[in-house]
Amino acid sequence: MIIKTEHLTYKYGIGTPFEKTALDDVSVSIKEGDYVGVIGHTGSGKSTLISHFNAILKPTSGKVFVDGQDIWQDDKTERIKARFKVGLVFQYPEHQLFEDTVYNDIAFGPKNMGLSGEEIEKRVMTSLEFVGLSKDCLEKSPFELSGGQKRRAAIAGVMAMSPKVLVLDEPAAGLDPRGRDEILSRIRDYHKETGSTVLLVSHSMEDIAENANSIIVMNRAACMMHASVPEVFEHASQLEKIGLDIPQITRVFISLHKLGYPVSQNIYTVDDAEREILSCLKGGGARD
Amino acid sequence: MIKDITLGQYFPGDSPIHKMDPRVKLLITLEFVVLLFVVNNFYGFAVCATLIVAVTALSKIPPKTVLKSIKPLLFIIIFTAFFNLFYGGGSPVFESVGWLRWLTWGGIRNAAFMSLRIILLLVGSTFVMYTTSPVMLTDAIERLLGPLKKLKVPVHEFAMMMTIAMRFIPTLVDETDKITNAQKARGADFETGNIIRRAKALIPILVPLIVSAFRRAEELADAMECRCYNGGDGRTRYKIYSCKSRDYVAICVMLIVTASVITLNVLI
Amino acid sequence: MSEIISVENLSFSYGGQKDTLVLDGLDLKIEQNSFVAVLGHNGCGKSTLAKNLNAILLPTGGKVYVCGIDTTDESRLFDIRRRMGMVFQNPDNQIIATVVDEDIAFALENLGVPHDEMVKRVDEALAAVGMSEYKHHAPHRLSGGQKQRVAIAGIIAMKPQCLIMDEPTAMLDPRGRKEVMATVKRLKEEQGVTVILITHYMDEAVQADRVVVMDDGKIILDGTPEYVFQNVGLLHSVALDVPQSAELMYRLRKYDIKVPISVLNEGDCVKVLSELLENKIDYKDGAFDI
Repeated sequence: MIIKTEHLTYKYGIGTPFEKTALDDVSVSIKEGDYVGVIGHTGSGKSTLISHFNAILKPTSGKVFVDGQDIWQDDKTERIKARFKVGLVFQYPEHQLFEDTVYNDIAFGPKNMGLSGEEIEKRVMTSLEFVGLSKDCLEKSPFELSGGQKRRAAIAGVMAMSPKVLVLDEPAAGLDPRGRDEILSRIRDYHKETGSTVLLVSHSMEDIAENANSIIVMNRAACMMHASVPEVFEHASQLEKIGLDIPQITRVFISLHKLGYPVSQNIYTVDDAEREILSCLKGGGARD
Repeated sequence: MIKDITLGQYFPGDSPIHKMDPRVKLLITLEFVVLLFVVNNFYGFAVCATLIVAVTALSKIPPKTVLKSIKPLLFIIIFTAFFNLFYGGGSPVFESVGWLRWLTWGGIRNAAFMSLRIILLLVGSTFVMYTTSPVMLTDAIERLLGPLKKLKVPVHEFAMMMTIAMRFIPTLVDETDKITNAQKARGADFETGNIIRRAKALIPILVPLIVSAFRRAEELADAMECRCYNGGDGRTRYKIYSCKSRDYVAICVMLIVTASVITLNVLI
Repeated sequence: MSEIISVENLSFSYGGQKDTLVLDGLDLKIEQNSFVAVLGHNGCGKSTLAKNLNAILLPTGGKVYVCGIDTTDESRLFDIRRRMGMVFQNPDNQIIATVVDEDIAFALENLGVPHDEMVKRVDEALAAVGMSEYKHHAPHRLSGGQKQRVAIAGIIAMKPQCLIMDEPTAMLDPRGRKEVMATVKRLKEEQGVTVILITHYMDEAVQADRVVVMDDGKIILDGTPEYVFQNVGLLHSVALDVPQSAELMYRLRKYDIKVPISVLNEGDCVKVLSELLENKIDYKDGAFDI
C-alpha cells in the first residue's frame, strides 16, 4: 500500500460559525502502481482527501500513511518526504506558474528537492517529453504559452519531482475536447511508462472509466465505495442518486439489459459499446 | 483556512444601532469627536462616557470587544499621559520627596484628562465600524461627499474602487491559499531561513497572484462594460436610505448630550 | 423583424488589418427566440465572435447588426449592450457587489432605471433564475452554479432580447451545469429570449435548436443538432467530439450496418440498438470481424 488513511477526519473552521466536517472517518488504501479515479460532487471531500496525502492538511483525527510511514507521527522530516513522494497537481495548475522561463518553472520542484544541476536538467527533459511540449518552449516565458500548453507545463513541474504517486485534481477542467484527450492520454502514458501510482480526481465518469482501474467514490465527507471500475458501475443508480453523471452509453446499455437483450451492463466507453454490439450481432443477436 | 477573516471590524447584528442610517451614524460620530475636544471638565466626559455605555448596551456588542479597540493605540495613550504629567503646574504631590517634586496634582489631572479624551475618541469612533458593514460605510461616505462631485472630486470612482476591492478580498485570499498550497506541493519552503530568504520564498506566491489579479481585472472590466457601466453620471441607486424615527431619536439624544456638555463647560 | 442578429462578412483581427484574422469573412443570421449552440476548439474565434455581437469588440471588416442597429454606431452603445446580455465563463470575475441583490441591480443603476422599477426588476430576475432565497447572501459563499445563476440574473434584469453565454458551464461541476442549463432553457421558453451558447460540452449543444461549428474564424457547419452531428468525421477533424450515441452509430455504419446517421439522445439510441438486435436493421453478415 503506497497510501493508506485510517479513520481520517478533518474539520475546518473549528470554533467558528462555519465549522464543517470535510472528511468523516475515511479509511482508504491505495495500491502501488494502481490508477485510481476519485469521484464525487463538489463538497464531497475529494479535494480535502487528496490534500492529506502530501501533508498540506493536518488531520483533525486519524492517521495518514505514505509508503508505510505515519506522516504525522514524527518530526517534520516524514512530511517533507511525503511531499516529494506524493506529487499533487491542483485544479487549474497553470495559475501557479511564476518563473521567467518554462525550464526554470519545471525545475522549481527538483531544485527544492536539492538535486544536482545535471539531474535537474535530466528530469526537466523527461517530464517535458511526458507532457508533449517541444524543446523550443523551454526558453519561453510560461506566460507566452497557450492555455493548454500552460496547463501541461505546470503538470510537468510536478512530474519532474518523480513522485511515487501523482495526484491530479481535475487536470482537464475547462479545456476543449482536444485539450482534454491530449492531457488524459499523456497521463495514461506516464502511468504506463513509469509504473508509478496515479490518482485522477474528476467529475467526469467518462474520463475515469476510460483511464482508471479502480474508483474511490466520495459522498458527504465519506468514502462511499472503493472498488474496481465494473464493480462501481454496477451501482449506477446509486451513483446517479448522489448527483454523479453516468456516461450516456452506460445508461443506454443498462436500459437494453433491462429490456432483456443479452448485452453487458458494464459498458463505459464507445469502444466497449462497439465491441459488445458487434459480438452480439455475430452471435445471432436476437432476444429469442 | 484564512478565508473567513472579517473585514475591518464589522460585528454583524440586528440592533437598533446596526439598523440606523449609516449617514446619520457617520455624522453623529463626527459630531461626537468634535464634542470630545470641546469638553473642558470631567463632568463632560462623564456624560460622553454614559452615552457610550448606553450605545454599547443597545448595540449588543460585548463590552470586551469594545474595549479591545483601545489596545492597538495603548502605547500612544500611555505616551501622551506620561508627557502631560510634566505640564500641569500646581502643587507637588509629594512635597517632602525631592526627586519627585516635578509630579504635580495639575499634571496628574492633565494626564488623566488627555487619556480619557483619547480613550473615548477611540471607543466612540469604532462603533461606526462595529455596527456598519464596509459596503454600507463606503456607500454612506460616497453620499455624504456627493456635493464634492461638483468640484470634480472623483467620489464615485473612489467608492466603486472600494466596493470592488471589498468584493475581491475574499476571492484573492482564497486564491493565495490555493497558490501557497500548490507551491508547497512543489517543495517550496516558507517557514525556514532568515528574513531575506523568506521574502524571496514569497515570489512563487506573489507572481501568480498578481498575474491572476490582472486577469480578473480584465475580465471584470469586460463584464462591467457588458452591463453598461459608464462611470457615475446618470446612475440611479438601488439602495435608498431614509431617516426613520430611530435616526431622529439618535439625533435628539446627540443634541441633548451636546447641550449638556456645553452647559457643563459654562457652569464649571 | 424575425432576425435578431445579422453578421455580414465579418472579419476581425486584434492588431488591425495587417494582423492575422481571428474571424474571416463570417456570415451569420440568428432568428429571434432561437437557441443556438456555438462549437469549436479553443482559439477558433468563438469568443471573439461573441464580443463582436455586443460591441465589446468592433469589426475590422464587414458589419454586425443587432436588433437592426449597426454595432459601430457609438450613440447607441447602451441600446446594444442592454439588448445583447453577455455572461462569461468565470462567475467570480463578473460579480461586482458584495451582496447578491445589489449585484443584480448594478446594470439597472448604470442604465438609470428609477428606484421602484429597479426593486421590482431585481426581484423578478432573482425569481427567474430561482435564487430568490439568496437575495441577501454574499456571492463568495455560493456554489459555482449558484454564482453563475446570479450572474445570469444580473443580465436578465436588463431585460435583454438575447443572452450570449461564453462557456458559462466550463468551470462548474455536473450539478452546477445542469442548474445553469435548466435556467437558460426556462428563460428561453418563458421570457422569449434568444440564447447563444458557446460550449465544449456536446450534451449541451444537443439541447439547442441549432448548432454552429466554427474553425479558424469561419463557420464550417450550421444546422440542427441532428444534421451537424451526422458529420462525425468532419467534427473529429476539427478536434470536436460528438455525443457517445452518435459516435457509436458512426462506428457501426463503418461496418455497413444500416443504423440511422444521427442518434443524439439516450432514448433514441436504445430504440435503434434494440431494433438492430432484433434483426430489424439490415447488416451484412460477416462484413465485420472482431
